[in-house]
Amino acid sequence: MPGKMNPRERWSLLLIDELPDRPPVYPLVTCHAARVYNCDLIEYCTDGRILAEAQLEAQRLYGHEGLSVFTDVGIIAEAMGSKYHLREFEVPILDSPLITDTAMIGELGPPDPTTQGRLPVYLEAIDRMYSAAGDVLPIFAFIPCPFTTAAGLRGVDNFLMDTVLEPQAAHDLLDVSLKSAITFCDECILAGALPMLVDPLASGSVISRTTYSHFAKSYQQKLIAHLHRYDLDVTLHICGDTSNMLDLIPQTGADLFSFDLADVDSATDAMGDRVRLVGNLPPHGLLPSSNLSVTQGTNSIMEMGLKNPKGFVLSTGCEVPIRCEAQKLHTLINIGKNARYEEVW
Amino acid sequence: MTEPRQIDFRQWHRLFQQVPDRLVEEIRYYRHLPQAEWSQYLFPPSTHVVYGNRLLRKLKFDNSQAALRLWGFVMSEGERIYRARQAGMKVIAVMGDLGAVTPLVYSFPNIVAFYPDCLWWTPFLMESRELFDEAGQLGLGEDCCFVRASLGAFSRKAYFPKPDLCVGTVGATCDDMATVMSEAEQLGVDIHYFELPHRHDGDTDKTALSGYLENQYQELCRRLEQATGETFSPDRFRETVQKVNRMRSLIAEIKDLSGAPAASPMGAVEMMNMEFAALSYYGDLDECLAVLTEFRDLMKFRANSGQGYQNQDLRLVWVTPPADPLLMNYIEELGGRVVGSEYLIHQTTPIIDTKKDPFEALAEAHLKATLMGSSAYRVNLVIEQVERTHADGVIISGVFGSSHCPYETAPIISALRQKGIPVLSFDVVAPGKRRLQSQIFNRMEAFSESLKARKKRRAG
Repeated sequence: MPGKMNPRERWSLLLIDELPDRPPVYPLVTCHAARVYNCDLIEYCTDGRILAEAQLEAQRLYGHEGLSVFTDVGIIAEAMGSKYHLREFEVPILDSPLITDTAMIGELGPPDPTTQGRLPVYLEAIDRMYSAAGDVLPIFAFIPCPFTTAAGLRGVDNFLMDTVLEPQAAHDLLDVSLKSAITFCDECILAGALPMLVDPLASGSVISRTTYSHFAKSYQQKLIAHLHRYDLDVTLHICGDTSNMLDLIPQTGADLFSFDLADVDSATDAMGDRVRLVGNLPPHGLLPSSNLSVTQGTNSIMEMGLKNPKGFVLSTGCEVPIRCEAQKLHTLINIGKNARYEEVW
Repeated sequence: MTEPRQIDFRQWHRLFQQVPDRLVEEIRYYRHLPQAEWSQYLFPPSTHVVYGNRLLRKLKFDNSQAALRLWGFVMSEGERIYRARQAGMKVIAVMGDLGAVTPLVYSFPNIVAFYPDCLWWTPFLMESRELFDEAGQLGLGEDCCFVRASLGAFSRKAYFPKPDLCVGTVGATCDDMATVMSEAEQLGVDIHYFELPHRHDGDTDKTALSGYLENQYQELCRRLEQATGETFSPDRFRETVQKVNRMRSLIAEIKDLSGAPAASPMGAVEMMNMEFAALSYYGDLDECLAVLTEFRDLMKFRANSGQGYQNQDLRLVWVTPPADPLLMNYIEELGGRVVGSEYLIHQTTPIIDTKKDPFEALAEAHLKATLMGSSAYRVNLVIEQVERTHADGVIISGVFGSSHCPYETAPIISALRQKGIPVLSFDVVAPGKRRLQSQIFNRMEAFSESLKARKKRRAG
């Protein structure tokens, strides 16, 4: 139909402070794409061609407005040497962290994204998606922030203990994790993707506001500053409960904030004049077993989101569950696509 | 200064790390809005790759900061027009005259002009048929030239803000663009038509033509007064024209420098971007002057010190701007360098007389336009370029569906052949037609080989 913006156009307007016809609709369809494509998650997480084809297939099915390159939050830590357990029906999990003694941190260096671990899988996937649909769909490469990578290198419990008992070692590990994230971001950019920073371990569900301020935020800031030097618009995603740190998010410099357990009105009050919001239907609501009304939930989020002065993206609070019920996701997306900003033309 | 080289977007991404933060911070447009955080534009091509400009992954770029600044300025034009409106400036869309009426537009305060016509290269930059398909749905298919992309952009409402006024030049100019205008009008766009008379180039009564154009300019001036709520000021006009004249002189000087006898001091795509600054100054006249001044200084340095790209010895004049800039890179890879050009924008070259009545001066300059006259006029422009630059050959990149291409290409070829100047002519292929594209590459290879053999023979 003539006159209908494509997703790339819609996002472009949002990012220059212009209201498009409506907010982009971008639920975080990540590993659920493997289910749509009918492949197992080991194939999805280890083969760039399959990851790309699965993403494109899922996008064709649902019509959401962005492609997501993401397998798991350990992708950088694994490339640096931590062992991850790949599973057929679930996402990879940390098996054995590389750093068993903080004295080992000094030997660490950033990995080569073109050869080490599964980082080349991302790069191949991005390249394929970009060639196939980069003119109409933005491609987001989910990059774990230094705090999350450090936890993957040291083990979550040990790293959280380090922040208390050996804070300097924690910072040293964060420094090398930052360099690694920058190196990986650069390669993803060159392949055609916009980095989307994810920091699930920096969630209010895991750490205190103080730990977030001292150990996570400053590294998010540095990573975002690197990307801003290239004039890139950065989305920061933090899983879980972020309601106790909403006021700190603008200090990271993030241009968009993707959040989970906080209400849209509170996020708007805390940062809506400076930061575009991305959220936040609870992902569990998309499971077949959930009794949550997707229609009601999405309508309520959309109503609040449309009022965010800096703009809004309708999304899920976190990754769409692998076993998501397709019809529920369709419902969310359709509601998003029927919303409208007031026409400016 | 670093040795001149053409590098790809990966190399620029890394090289950009060495650009001092201070420069990235300082290089901005709309300097009259000092607090605008969005006004920086010195960024590498990789930034624009991420936002969908896929062709940039294939292009070669000059490795100088001046060229990077030019690229950044060109690539940020779309956002700049939106920012202009956000900052309360009036936005004027100008179509079909290619740089003739913008001096008048910019003489109004707090105003910015842009050419929807220039969106013709967006499908190529993005390697996308989106805008063409959109135009197709509105009735403009491949029988219209690539400017139909601008109709797609009008329809999508995502490439420029709603203009406060559209000025459409019709008459003796590109009729494809006139078709776009009438289709855009169907979409609800309000257009002020500016009628261009035909120039016979023989015993034409210049006074009558000039008088007619003066009236057109006066009417346009009244529409601009209505749109802006400002009164036309001859003083402000003179001040603007002085800047425009400075820009036109800079462009002429840079074009001369590109033909330096030693190595080629600059890439053909950068030169084309530089030359097209004359149309609407990429939305910021003052900053555009600063960009071109730095560019000129670099070119001067390179030309005077004999610096340039290695192995580009075939001197070429390029006729009609190629919507696909990759073609220029390709001929450079084959040993060519573009030393002259005729991009249908001759109307942007005359120095406007500031002592005359403003409308008379504008009309006089406008009468030098490429498109409004006979084919012979354009043939002479091309031959003059070839002779002045001692070119080895000419490349004409036509556009299928464009009315002036089939009618003018033949007489240009014929005139060049009569003078013994080799010429290659082809139609630029729309994005996605790889086999046709490879055929053009093939012909370019054969052309460069024959030019090299010819040069060798002549050198004995």
